Amino acid sequence: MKLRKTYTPYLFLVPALIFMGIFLFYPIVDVFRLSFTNYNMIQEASYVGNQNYQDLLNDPLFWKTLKNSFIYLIGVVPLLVILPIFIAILVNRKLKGIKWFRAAYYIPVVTSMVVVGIMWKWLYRGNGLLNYLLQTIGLINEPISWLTSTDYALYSVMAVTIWKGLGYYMVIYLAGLQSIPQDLYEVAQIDGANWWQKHLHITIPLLKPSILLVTILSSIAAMKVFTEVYVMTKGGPINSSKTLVFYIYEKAFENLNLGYAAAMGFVLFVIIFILSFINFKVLGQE
Amino acid sequence: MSKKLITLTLLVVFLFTMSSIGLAQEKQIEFWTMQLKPTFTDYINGVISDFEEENPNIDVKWVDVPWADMEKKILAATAANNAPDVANLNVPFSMKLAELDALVDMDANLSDDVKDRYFPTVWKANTYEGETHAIPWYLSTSVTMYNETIFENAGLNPDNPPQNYWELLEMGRQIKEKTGKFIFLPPIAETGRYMEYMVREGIPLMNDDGTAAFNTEKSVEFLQLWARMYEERLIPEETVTEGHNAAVDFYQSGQAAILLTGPQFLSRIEENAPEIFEKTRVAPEISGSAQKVGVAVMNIAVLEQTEYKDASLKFAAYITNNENQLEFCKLVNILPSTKKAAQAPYFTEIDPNSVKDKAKKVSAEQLERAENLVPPIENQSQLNEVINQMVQNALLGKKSPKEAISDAETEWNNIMSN
Amino acid sequence: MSNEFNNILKKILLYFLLTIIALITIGPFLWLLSTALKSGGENIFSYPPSLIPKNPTLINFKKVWNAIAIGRFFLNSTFVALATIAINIFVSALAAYPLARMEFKFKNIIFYGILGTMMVPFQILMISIYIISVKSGMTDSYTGLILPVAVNAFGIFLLRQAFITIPIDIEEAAIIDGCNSFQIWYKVLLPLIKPSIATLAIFTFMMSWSRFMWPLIVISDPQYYTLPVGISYLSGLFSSNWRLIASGSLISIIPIIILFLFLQRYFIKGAMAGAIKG
Repeated sequence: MKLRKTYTPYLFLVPALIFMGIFLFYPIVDVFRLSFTNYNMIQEASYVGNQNYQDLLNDPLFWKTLKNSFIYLIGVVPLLVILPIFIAILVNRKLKGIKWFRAAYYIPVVTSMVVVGIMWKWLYRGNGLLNYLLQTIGLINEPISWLTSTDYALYSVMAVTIWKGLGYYMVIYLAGLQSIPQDLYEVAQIDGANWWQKHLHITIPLLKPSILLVTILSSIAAMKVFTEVYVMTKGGPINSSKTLVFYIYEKAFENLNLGYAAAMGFVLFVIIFILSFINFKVLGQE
Repeated sequence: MSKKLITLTLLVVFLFTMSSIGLAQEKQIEFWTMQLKPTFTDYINGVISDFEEENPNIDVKWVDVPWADMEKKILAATAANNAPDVANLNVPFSMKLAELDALVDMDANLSDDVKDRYFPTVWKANTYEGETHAIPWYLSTSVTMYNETIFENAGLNPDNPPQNYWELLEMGRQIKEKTGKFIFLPPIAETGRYMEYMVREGIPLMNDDGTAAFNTEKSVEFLQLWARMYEERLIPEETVTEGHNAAVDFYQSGQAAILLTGPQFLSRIEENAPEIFEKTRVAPEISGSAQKVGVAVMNIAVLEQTEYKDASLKFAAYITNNENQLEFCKLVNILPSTKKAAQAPYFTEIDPNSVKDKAKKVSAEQLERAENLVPPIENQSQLNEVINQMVQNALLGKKSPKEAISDAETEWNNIMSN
Repeated sequence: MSNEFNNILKKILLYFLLTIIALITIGPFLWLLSTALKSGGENIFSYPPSLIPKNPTLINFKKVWNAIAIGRFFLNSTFVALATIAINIFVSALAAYPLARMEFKFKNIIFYGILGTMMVPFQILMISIYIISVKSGMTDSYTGLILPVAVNAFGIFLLRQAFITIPIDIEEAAIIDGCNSFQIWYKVLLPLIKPSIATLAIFTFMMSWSRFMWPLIVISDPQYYTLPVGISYLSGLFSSNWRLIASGSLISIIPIIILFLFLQRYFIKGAMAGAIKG
């Protein structure tokens, strides 16, 4: 690729770099600086060296919430990467009324998490609609403690994230599907390929850029889960559904310990960075 | 010609100087409240315009913040040196700010006759280490609301509502057996509430040196009571993760027989579940063996960051005075923090057929004996978390009450010694 | 087995599958809708739960309109969302091009640096961004609502992936034709990634529409309130009416669905039509 002038790429990047420089890079550096202080938002910050980092290594709740976030990652990402591909394939066709189905799948995405959380909290109640339905069809005998049992709470919250995310990633895949030429499918059809073979050998390889995008986005989102927990369980019972970002928020705004929260935020950043790096390597760069 | 020009110039300079003096005298203070709009927009605007009339050089800008987000907003504003001058805060958050020296000391800055207006027990709700960091504004004491139909169906006498926590075990069993309903949802896993319950029961919270004092036999029995009620599902499973809001929901939907809350919630029930409202009766709040009555306090605080300390103090004292508080109480079922306003006949002259009026009377009568059950303590949010975990562990059966309490004692002492 | 029978069977199967998934995604909202339609006399939280309102009414939607200045919040949210979309698409599309198509010094550092910004939780950065906004006098203004949160790595990443899927020959053909980089970007490449741009538009709209934390912190003057902040007023201290909350929530969903239905054709139009031969 011949470039016109060597500074051309930078010219294109300038607006983005200005915006991100002021409102993202600078605050990130600032927060990094704060992680070495005992800043509480009210008084002047004073330097405490790496005391915060030492403390968090010995903080059992830090490790517990980190573990919860990893469980979130492993439970949610594969489903949010794979399922929406098939939903996108399903709705990527000319069928009467398909427009409405696509919109229907997107509705959870556009509803505010607060509303979604309240709705699901009610559905998950001991004598809420979900238990009522499951008992009526005879699938269960006793109501399940979806949000009030330390065994289930985290998974119940994860289910809501998945439910809300399906439409989100479906749309990304839909856009990706548009750049796959129809002739490829026609050729395959002539060669006698069935549905599964067609998609395995044509769609999925050609969707690779989208798959990479979705994997990275959903991994980052899974590690940053906050609102679902805030609305539905506040991390309970007994911290069983508390994610790392929720703990960070608590430390900052409940305990007024922004320095410590910043330190945890930074550790999280490093972890996500490494994860994304691995993602890139595994799913390949073009 | 030039004489006119000189006169004109002098006039302009004169006017300019006068107006800038006027501007310099104009003080603008910002006042933040927790979710009083749209219901009380007119009332607050009325108070503000009356104040501005009496104080022509003070301008009050009113900002109303969503209930659950006041803390975030104040913290962010303070961090950016953009904090309000006067703010309506709850007691625990006031304490957090006071610990960091963010609030003005009312004891030192208000005159004695202003301070004397308020109930001394309620004034103490904000006193810590010789400083009182906020003025108590409006109060509410809880009353027992109960569903007479559920009582009747369970074979209980609706004229004989429960008076202490220990009665709830047997009553709960009867209600469950005969009607399948819950007796109520105690908000004991909600921040700070279980400490209040313990105080009502007469269990000491801490010693003078700050160490935990709640590891007593009585305390174990008390926690055991709730654990048993949870196990037998006399109280819903949501007790362990949800609090007061859920308690209202369960009562409103006819799934719980009792609701312990401030009388102002009767309006909510009337609106959302009129059929339950019809069956609701009120009684004094259920208490423990020490028979103490709690009071929920809302504060008015002045922030240290303010540029206009005197104007802010003046406004804070004004909005919490007798006349303004009485007017407020007439709009909604709350109580004033000032003695004179509380003595108004408004609180005792009621319509005996209106359950809301009865609730008003009951809660007003309790005010005399009411106290802020949990005094301000340092590190409050961490200590609350310890008690919270203790209750959750005991209810879910993860630890026996004895173990849970003993573990909580250790953690409490750890926090206090740091 | 006739071909036509096969087709009909296939169609029935498709609709069946589509409907099942739709039930899963829409099901929970039926409660929201039924709550919004329930009249004042009916107990919302009755057990067993009842989905069908006894005396359905539209009055709650009207009440929401009067209870809070929902019209104004609507306009604010719309203006902010549209401005954010414009800025985000423009800036992201510009930045994504060199990251996808050119080689230059620091390319990788810049790309990973940009991606890195997605990895820090907003809750931590919020205070710093707010302090910057206060210092530049952006509080209580549309500028403050829009600028600090308009551009993020997501858009750049999304469009970069889109640019990557365009075959190199198209660009090379344009260069041979004598186009400079900007013309290539504007006239040739952008039209080809329309589906992704439409996707970004929807995502940006939705992200901006549902923002709660940021507007809450940067705005104190109610005339600038956006919809989520306005609706949170409905669950207040002294008057919490689930019917109004349900209605308000439904009202705030509708514009996005309309936008989605409208933008759908950009997702599905053949982006490569005419560019590829054989």
